[in-house]
Amino acid sequence: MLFTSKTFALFLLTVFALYWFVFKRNLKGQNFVLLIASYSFYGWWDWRFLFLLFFISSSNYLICKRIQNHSQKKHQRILFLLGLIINIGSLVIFKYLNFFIDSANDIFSFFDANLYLATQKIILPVGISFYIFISISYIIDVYQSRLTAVRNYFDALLTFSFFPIILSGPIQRPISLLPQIQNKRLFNNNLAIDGLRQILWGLFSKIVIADRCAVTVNTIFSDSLQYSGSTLLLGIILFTIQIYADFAGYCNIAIGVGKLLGFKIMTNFAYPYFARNIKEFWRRWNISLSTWFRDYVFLPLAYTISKKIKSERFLMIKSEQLIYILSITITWILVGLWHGANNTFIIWGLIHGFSLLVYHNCIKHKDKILKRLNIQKNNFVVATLGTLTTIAIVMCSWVFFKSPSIHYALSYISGIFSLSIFSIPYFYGMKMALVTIILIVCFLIVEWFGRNNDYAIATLGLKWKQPFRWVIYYILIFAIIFLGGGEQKFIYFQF
Amino acid sequence: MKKFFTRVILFLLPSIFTIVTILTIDPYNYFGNETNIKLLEYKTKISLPIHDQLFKLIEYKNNPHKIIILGDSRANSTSGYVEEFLHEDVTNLCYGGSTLQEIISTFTEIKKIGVMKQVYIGINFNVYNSFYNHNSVPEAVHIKSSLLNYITSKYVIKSTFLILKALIFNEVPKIGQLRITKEEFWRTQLDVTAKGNYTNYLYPKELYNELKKFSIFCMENHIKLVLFIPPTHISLQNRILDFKLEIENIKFKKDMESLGDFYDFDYLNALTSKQSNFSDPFHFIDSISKIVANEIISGKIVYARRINVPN
Repeated sequence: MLFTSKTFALFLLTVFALYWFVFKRNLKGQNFVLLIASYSFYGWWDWRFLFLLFFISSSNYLICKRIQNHSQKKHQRILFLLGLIINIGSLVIFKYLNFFIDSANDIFSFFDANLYLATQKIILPVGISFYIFISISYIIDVYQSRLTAVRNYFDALLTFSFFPIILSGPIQRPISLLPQIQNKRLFNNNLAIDGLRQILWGLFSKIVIADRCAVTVNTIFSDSLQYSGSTLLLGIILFTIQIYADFAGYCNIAIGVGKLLGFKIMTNFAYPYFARNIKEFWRRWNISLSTWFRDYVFLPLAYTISKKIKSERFLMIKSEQLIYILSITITWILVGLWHGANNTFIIWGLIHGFSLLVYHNCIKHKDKILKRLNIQKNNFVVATLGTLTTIAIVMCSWVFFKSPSIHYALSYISGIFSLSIFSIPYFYGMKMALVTIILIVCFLIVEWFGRNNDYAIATLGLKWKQPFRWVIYYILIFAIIFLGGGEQKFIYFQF
Repeated sequence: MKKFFTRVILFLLPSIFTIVTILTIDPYNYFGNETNIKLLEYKTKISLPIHDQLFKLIEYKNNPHKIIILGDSRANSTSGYVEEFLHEDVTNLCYGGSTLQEIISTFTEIKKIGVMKQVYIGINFNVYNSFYNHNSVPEAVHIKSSLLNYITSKYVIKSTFLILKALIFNEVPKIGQLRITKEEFWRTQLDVTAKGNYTNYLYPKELYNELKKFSIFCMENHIKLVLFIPPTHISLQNRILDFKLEIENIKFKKDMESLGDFYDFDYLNALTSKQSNFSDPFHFIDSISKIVANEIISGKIVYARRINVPN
């Protein structure tokens, strides 16, 4: 059941009616409706996935309850490790096993030794990376006493399966989701209207912008060798727009649905392509994932390494620097792997990690130079150059993200830097090209002017008279119906 | 809550109006045959060109006939005469610019209803190309599969409002009409369309296997299967030589011949050499449609050849 499907619209309508009308003053009833809805929504993809979700949720519930009840730190630690093994183990088995088998076979064959490990037929449950990460944060937070383990079993099940966020996030940590589940929710007219508006913008981003770009992107990436440099460049520009509109669109729908049900789900995108440097980009892109990795991987890792390195310098490098390099490299390899079991994602992660390292080391020098030249940090030219450099790095990384192999990505990039970059790019149908370009430009303009809000149209036309504002919404609905690019799956579902 | 619903209902009023209009006009006859002659005329002139696959598949669901004709615009033009010569109702499931993929998908779809006794398929060499794989039949099947899909389809909404406009102003909008002269169009068809078709030629191996399956299905179910290659002007036939696709063309004809009763009009003969027999290199005029229909129905060959493909 896709968020963009009519089935989901009917599903949401049913859940909304049961939730606010039948159980409007009964918290337990409301949570029960949400739990049934969440399991139905998830099971709609494949009912077999429900077993894993149920197993993960139940084991996390039991383990955390035990951690809380045990006073001995040693026992708590054993339980904590058990919880981590169950969660990470499930992720490894379902998502990475074949990747590790293939990699092992490759390594052995490189040394002329044959391992012949057979890959397994394992179906990848949708959204596994998302709900496993929610589970891990729950266990860590309970173990570190930041969060009290949930007592009600059904509340726990709902925390890990909450349908607006289970498939592609945002990774809403239990520390902020649980209080919302446990406390009474009252219908808020303004929040609900805001939710509808956000859903509308999400649908527009996904169906009109992302899906239209997808048509050309998939054609170009399916056989990049036959296209000119300019077409390949167009392909990656469109993919840059597509992946943002796709994922941010999904998140807007998820947050909007949450608002309709009285929940406040965290913002996951804050106009990342307007960032002036790579660090800022990662403060704006997939915020729930980047902060998750910061809090649960990068900082603990940096702390652990810093405890191991006692001297001021290690291998001629300042220990402070070394800690940063090691922590960021490991973190970004893991971020890459989180996205998918393929070397291309590791390279994608390393590009971002390396860019962050370079930025970290150059920022002081850059500030000094600007100060000497008497140029302010927020100077328009400097800011624009920063934004363009950031986008160039991000676009380069997207080539690896989208390509099936490293070799394919490298030939794609080398294809761009050929003389044919000066030719007219291929775009299926002039009329379609023109409409797509106009729509993308409109989308970017609205995003630019709405960049200070949670989502681009949050305040658009709020000071106008209602009929004028509604005309805007109807234009968006019209575009969704008539200018969509065909029903395509969300890119992040595969993760 | 009351305030929220009042605002939502007010906002949705245009949508409610649209739904009511769709249900009233029913541009693709989802709810059954149209009895109002004027409305039927408007639907044929407006809804059909907007999504002919949807229109025709719903029509077949409403009135399934034993005789089916499949193909593109050329087969389409013969369907009226096929009906006339057979003295029986024929379901015309030919679509303008149809692909082989669409012909196969349509056959798969109508097989489910299962009343077929005779199937006529018109395929030309330019259609027998797996490079052109666009297929609007699954979309049509999806739209007609539920009322919700039907009323939210952009084609249905567009057709509804164009029919409504036509009813109000008593004027049918011109959909898909050419704005260039016949000579210009003739040239464009040879220089642009034919070039596009033959530059990207890809032998449809998998699709041929699908056709083979249909042929076996027809044999097993005692369904008469007739395949014919409608005539094209000799200037277009020569384009096949220009693109060095003679071998592929012969293979195509042999494939057709292996599937069922076969009639080939597309070679140098008295029909195809005359420019006046064609409105453009791809499309023949009405009198030729009659000749084609007559030969494939009666089996009396004058212009067609049956098994005469050179090795």
